[in-house]
Amino acid sequence: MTFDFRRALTVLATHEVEFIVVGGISAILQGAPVVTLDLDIVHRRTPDNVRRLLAALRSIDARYRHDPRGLVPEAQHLLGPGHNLLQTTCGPLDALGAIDEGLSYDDLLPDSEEMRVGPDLTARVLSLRRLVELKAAAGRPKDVAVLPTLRATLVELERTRDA
Amino acid sequence: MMKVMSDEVEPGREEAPFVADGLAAGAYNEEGVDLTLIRMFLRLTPAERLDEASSSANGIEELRALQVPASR
Repeated sequence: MTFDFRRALTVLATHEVEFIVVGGISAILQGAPVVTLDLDIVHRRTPDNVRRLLAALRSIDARYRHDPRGLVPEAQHLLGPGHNLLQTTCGPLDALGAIDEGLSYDDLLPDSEEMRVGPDLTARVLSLRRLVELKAAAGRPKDVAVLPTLRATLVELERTRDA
Repeated sequence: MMKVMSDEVEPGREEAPFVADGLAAGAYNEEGVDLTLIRMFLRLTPAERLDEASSSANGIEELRALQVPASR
């Protein structure tokens, strides 16, 4: 298995998919020294965007990780609020219809910003502050474990912004 | 008055002595998080951090592949 998060984001951008990077990669992009093995995105669940997302996912041979038959995602899966846990040629990619108590792309949009993540590549990323709030509210052991690092990064980030 | 940057230490403002021990030097916050790692990571661009993320994940995968099953 090869992990290439930049290529995954490039493919999504090339297909003009509307999405917000959440989870570990959003924390990493904002400076948190954490390790993750997947790219989590919350995509906009409109028919047009799901069509673009499907095309992007097919180009990187996305298949459900938990299904031994290697089923591929379909539009009806991506239009719902569920978590589509996929394996792709760029590594694991989770296309999340909604996160934490049903928060959708539109709910998260005000707390996200475009970030330059490559020479000709930008991606919309959930703010670290909102990510910390969501993880604290979720309170799951895996979220609680990473919170001290995320909070410390937020403090350092704001300190350097103010300097 | 214009200030001129200089490598010279201003009179009366000596540099703090070097402390090798990270614990004593205050490298960790009250929750035990190593702030030097965060500061190091913050000096990278987001694009560089993204590449680091891929590289770390690939490194873990390589270590997994090297893992020999425990003998019985």
